[in-house]
Amino acid sequence: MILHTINKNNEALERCLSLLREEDAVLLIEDGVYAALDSEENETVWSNLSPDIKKYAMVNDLAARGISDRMLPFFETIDWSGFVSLSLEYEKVISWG
Amino acid sequence: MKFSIVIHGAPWSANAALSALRFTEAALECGHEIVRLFFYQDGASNGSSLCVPPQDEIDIPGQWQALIKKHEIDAVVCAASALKRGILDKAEADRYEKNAHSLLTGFSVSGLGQLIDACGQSDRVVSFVI
Amino acid sequence: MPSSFQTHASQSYLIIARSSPYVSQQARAALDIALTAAAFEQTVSIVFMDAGLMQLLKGQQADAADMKNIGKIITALKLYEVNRILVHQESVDKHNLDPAEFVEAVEVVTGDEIKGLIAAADQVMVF
Repeated sequence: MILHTINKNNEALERCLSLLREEDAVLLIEDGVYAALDSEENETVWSNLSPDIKKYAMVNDLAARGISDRMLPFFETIDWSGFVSLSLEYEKVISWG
Repeated sequence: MKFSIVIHGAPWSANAALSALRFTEAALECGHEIVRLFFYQDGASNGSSLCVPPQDEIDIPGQWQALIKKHEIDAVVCAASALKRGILDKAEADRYEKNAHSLLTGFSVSGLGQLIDACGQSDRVVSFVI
Repeated sequence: MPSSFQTHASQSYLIIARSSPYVSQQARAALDIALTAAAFEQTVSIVFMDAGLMQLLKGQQADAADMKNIGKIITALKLYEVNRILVHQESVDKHNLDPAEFVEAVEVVTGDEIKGLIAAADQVMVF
């Protein structure tokens, strides 16, 4: 059970997603939150993933970018203490960049 | 629980340093222990004593310094990363005959082995990358 | 305050090298960490994928661009007791490369095998 963090919306995200297992979770941070923006392209990416994979996005990064109200429904938003808790809920944290 | 945090980004240039700072603060507020902060590659610049941020921006090195002091955190800047970026403690400034030293008080300079050591001592290692 | 290295049980490291050499410090950083971890008696594997495969090409003349040859560092990995040098099958196919022509002998592994390696390792770092 691994928590994967992604801070960009590019091929690093694709690579990360390709290596996820069903018991893993993804947390979008920094610019990675753009991957949660409601668009057809993003919807395809996330709906192709197993629904068992938990998906999170950092609330402050969404707010900073003005996209808090434009997100796909797949994501749970968390704050810093939520990130800390998640890091302990999962066995390790892998930062994909 | 014991955390080590690895910071790969310079203050302001990328989000990594600020994200790492906020995560570290949250971990401490939740009652966890920070085994080590390891500043690597561009992250070494967080340990600069010579940064002067604009008044309307967060003083990231300053905030690290305050946090390190308050919680007595072991804050290590990777030696090779530091030298390349002009982050030198007094001993190195003298050794390399540079006209200033630039390591922010509270930080120390050490080798990459400190990262391996931190990994061995920590329950979780969280990296903030660029 | 300087800290000393404490003796702990050896951990397993998986270094994921997915950056091309020379454009940034990433490729070099991955190798430095792999070598350091091995020097500190950790069990280290490195897997090259995506643009990271470019680090393995023969015939790099890095000094033509005033750089240090990354291929040479890779050929030292086994000498310094890095356990396994792996490449991602799909990346190899996508970039139309032949592992027999790399600077170092490598094991080719699938994405599924990599998932298993990621799960099993104590520390996973991506560069």
